[in-house]
Amino acid sequence: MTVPEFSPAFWFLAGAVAMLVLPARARASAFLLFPLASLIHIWFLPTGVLQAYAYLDHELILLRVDGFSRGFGLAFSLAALVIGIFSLRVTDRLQQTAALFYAGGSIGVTFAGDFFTLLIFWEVMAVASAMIIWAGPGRAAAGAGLRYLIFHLFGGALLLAGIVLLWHGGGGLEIRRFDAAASPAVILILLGVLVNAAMPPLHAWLPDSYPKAGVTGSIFLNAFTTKVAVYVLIQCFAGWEILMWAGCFMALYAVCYAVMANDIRLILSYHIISQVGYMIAVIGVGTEFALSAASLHAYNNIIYKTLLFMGTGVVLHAVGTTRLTDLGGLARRMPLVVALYMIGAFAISGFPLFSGFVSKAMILEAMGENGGWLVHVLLLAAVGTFLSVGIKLPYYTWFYRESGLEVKPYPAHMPLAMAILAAACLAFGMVPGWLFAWAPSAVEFQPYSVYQVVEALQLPLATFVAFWFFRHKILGEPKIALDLDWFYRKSAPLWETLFITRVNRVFSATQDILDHWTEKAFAFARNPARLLREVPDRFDANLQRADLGSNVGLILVVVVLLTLLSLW
Amino acid sequence: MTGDHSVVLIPVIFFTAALLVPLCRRGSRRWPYWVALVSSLLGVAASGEALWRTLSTGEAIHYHLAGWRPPMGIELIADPLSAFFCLLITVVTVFVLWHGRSLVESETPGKAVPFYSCVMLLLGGLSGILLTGDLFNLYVFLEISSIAGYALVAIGDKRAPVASFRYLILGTIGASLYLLGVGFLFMTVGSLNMGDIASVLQTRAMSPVEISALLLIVLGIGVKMALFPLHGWLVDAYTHASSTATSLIAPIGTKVAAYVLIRALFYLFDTDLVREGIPVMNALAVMGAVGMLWGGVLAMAQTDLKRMLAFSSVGHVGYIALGIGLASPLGFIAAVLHTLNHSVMKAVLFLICGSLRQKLGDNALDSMNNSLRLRMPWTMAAFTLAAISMIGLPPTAGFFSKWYLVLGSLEQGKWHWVIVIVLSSLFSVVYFFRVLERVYLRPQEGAEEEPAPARDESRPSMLAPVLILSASLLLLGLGNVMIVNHLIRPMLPAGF
Amino acid sequence: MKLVGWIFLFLIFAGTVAAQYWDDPAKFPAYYFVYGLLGCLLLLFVTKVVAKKSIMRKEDYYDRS
Repeated sequence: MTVPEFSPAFWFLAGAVAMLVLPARARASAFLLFPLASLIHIWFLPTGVLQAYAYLDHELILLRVDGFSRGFGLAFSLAALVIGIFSLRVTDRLQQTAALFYAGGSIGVTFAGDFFTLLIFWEVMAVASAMIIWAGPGRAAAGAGLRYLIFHLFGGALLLAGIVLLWHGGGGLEIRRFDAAASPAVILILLGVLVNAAMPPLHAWLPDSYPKAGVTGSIFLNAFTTKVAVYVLIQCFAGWEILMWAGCFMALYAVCYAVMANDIRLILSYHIISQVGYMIAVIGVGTEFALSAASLHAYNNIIYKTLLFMGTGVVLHAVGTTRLTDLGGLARRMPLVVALYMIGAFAISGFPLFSGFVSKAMILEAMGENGGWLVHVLLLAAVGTFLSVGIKLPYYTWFYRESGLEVKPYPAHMPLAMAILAAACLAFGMVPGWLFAWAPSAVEFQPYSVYQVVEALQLPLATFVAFWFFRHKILGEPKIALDLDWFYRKSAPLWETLFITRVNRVFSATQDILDHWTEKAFAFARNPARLLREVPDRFDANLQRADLGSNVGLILVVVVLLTLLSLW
Repeated sequence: MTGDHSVVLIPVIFFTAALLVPLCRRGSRRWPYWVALVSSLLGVAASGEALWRTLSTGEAIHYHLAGWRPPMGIELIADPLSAFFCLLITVVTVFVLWHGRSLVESETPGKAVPFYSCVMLLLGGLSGILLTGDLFNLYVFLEISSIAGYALVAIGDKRAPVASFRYLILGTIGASLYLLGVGFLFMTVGSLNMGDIASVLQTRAMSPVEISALLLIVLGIGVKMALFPLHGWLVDAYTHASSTATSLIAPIGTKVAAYVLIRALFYLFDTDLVREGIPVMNALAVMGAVGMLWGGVLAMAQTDLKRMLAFSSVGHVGYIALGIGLASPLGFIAAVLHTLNHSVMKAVLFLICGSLRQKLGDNALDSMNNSLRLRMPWTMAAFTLAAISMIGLPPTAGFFSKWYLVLGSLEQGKWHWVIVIVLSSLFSVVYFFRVLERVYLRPQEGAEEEPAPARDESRPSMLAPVLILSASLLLLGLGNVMIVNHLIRPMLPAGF
Repeated sequence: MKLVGWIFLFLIFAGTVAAQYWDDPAKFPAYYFVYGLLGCLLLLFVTKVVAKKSIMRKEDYYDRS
């Protein structure tokens, strides 16, 4: 089947426009059409550079298909579709429009063939995702959304600076693998991408904002931004050894915060960072097998992470809180949700027979061959993953003790969406060949070796035993752990004084001085006695302005100066 | 429309309308409005036709008034540059008049007849400036448009007459400088026809008298364009004129002056000499760059939305001047593209000022809070889009003119201009987000007790032009490649 | 947890140890169990004891100014 060759992002952009005009009752169902169209479209797209326009001296490549972009594009479209099913009850026009713009931006980046196109879709993503956060409830969401937007505009500025330098250096703008001999342009691009990948210390926007979005908002957010960054890292920075170290650090750092967190959506938010750490580490290895491992782990991650976020979404929808210290004993009221959540939790923890096992085994294999002892850091992170997502979160949420919270009924399409994803988790785990079919290059790998299975069983077993003995100590008190966002959240008043109040004061002082002296000079020229006249000491833009004489004088000064300069 | 006469028709339509408006004061109260709107639409059609014809034939259209051949007679010329500017100002006028249908009556009651008459006179003068091929004739049109402009500003609030007086004094000085320059040129060259003068000047070196003439023309027009530091008239005039008058003068007045600058520097004088012999291009770039920063800084300090936008106009005139000052094809493209983009953006923003003034009574920033978002969601969405474009985020129109400006600066290795552009964009982030933060995030004082404000959108005749113009910002942004390749590249002067 | 559960977990553990021994007798058969146990205790120590003293704050920390 031949399909029209334009970027599948346009399905989503068209959908976003449609959301603006459709009535509330039709919107949620119409929402599903656009990811579905994109899914089918990507499936049938041939490989190669398909849509390009000449612009100035280079080409804008809107559609370039290869193994990676096809896989990521399918995963993103699938996620948008299933989250759409989960959100069938949403009626908020802003959120639905922003969600489609956001998904469209992600797909646009995935299929972009040059950095200029990438940048445009990148900014669309940033703004649309900030809108999703703003759609969340309360003042906390408003503040977090603003911080999020500023952080991402900063990342976008880094990216833009890198792209301008790249263009200026004559390197051409097409997206390609950079070799590890770094130039300033490439470093700037890397930093811009790492902001989106939430690499510590550039990660603080993620745990700050994702838990504050609405029920469906945070599900949407989790699937796209970081994975798009992973995609760009795969395309451009494969084999950069530093990424191996950075990724391992990232995986462990975020896991520690996840263990400390008291909010279930915060736990999952930190696990986004930790999982991306796995992918980045293996991108640093850079072999063909490693890149397949990174992208397959990303696809799996999109699926099970969305499933987990949906589980917490149902909890939030049903009881209205996500703090572990308030929850407990809800299992009997939502047994199906618990079961589906646990499938996701086993998948992220890499249990045999679940999808995470397959891609995690590939990552450990690739790291073990090239990374030496670093693989043990990843194993430690895996322990923390199972501890927080696999045991702590479900145990205190659904078991442990009766919280006495009132449970609202939740609509049936929520567990339906979860069931679709859970089925995918199980299928990819039991038949690894189905997963390998998505890989960008052919994969010859047998995940179910004795070594892998033993490791994947003993680690969680030990974790469970340790947890059980300390289970009354671990829950703790309702507290938050400070992260690097402290630096800009606590210092906000300082920045405001420094960059707004002070700056304003400097400028009004400058204006004062300028006005003062022009006025003095011309007053003196006209009537020396006026020198003694009093001048009001506060700057008020509306009352005090340079008088007509100063303006006329200024014109004459410029005329004379320029004439002198020219005729000298 | 008979082919040959469409060029002369443009000013003639407007001057006729300026006379017709006072005549129909006896009729319905709506007649002045309809006469003005219909003539603007006719103006759009005539300039569109002229632009189409000159682009499709690839040659300029020459029209000799009363059949007198130049250099004795006056000729009107429509080449892609002038026809494009004509189309731009007439289109903006149509939208502003549409928006002002009820606003003119409510803001300046009883003054509709002189208002519309002045608008037509202004348009006649501006289109004359754009089309004429004669330097002295240009001066005449300049004075016509300026006098109409002074009158328009004076029809405003309590302080408007004073602002108009400042404008009058400074504008007259500018025009006098220009006239002096033209006189110098006439003394040495002996002609007033632009083509004639160009053919003489580009074959020999320029004498000091001619250099002085060039400087006087540039600076005289610089005053009209509100180029920093010659901008003393602009802020008060924009702030105190009525909403509709500001939305009309701000987008098109300074742009026509920019056109004269482009015409004089790139078509009249020897481009190579202008670029290398004397520092006028560098001076323009420096004045533009300082103006960008100055306008941005003072815009941050304002407490009134309209005044803030006026200062931001000073900054954006700086962008155009910087583009001209680069004196390269990319700089030229940036200047013309920014003229187009800034006209549309500023029209949207000042029109929204008018809509807000009708609902709130004034434009004070202090009185804005998040009830506005609930009361006028569409107007505020349009404001946000225009603000994003002013800041210059892709894919809105404002990004692309800045992009060309950056490319033009980099091409010549002038990094300092890039820094200035980035800085001034940051300033505009600050002053626009100050407004957006109020509109979207700041709660109304005492909002807990009061119920959420009901939807109170401005009337369709005011909302529609705002929405159409702001949506066109996206179109201009996405279609910029086409605009640059098919519209602006044909304008490039022969020397490039 | 009931005794049955513990027995079940122990059987799994014993199975993995046996499998590991059968696969490669040179390796310590419960290596990953010990690593996991120590790692988990280390994580709990770092996050519950060290962090509690240093970076844990009340929830309204950022709202107070």
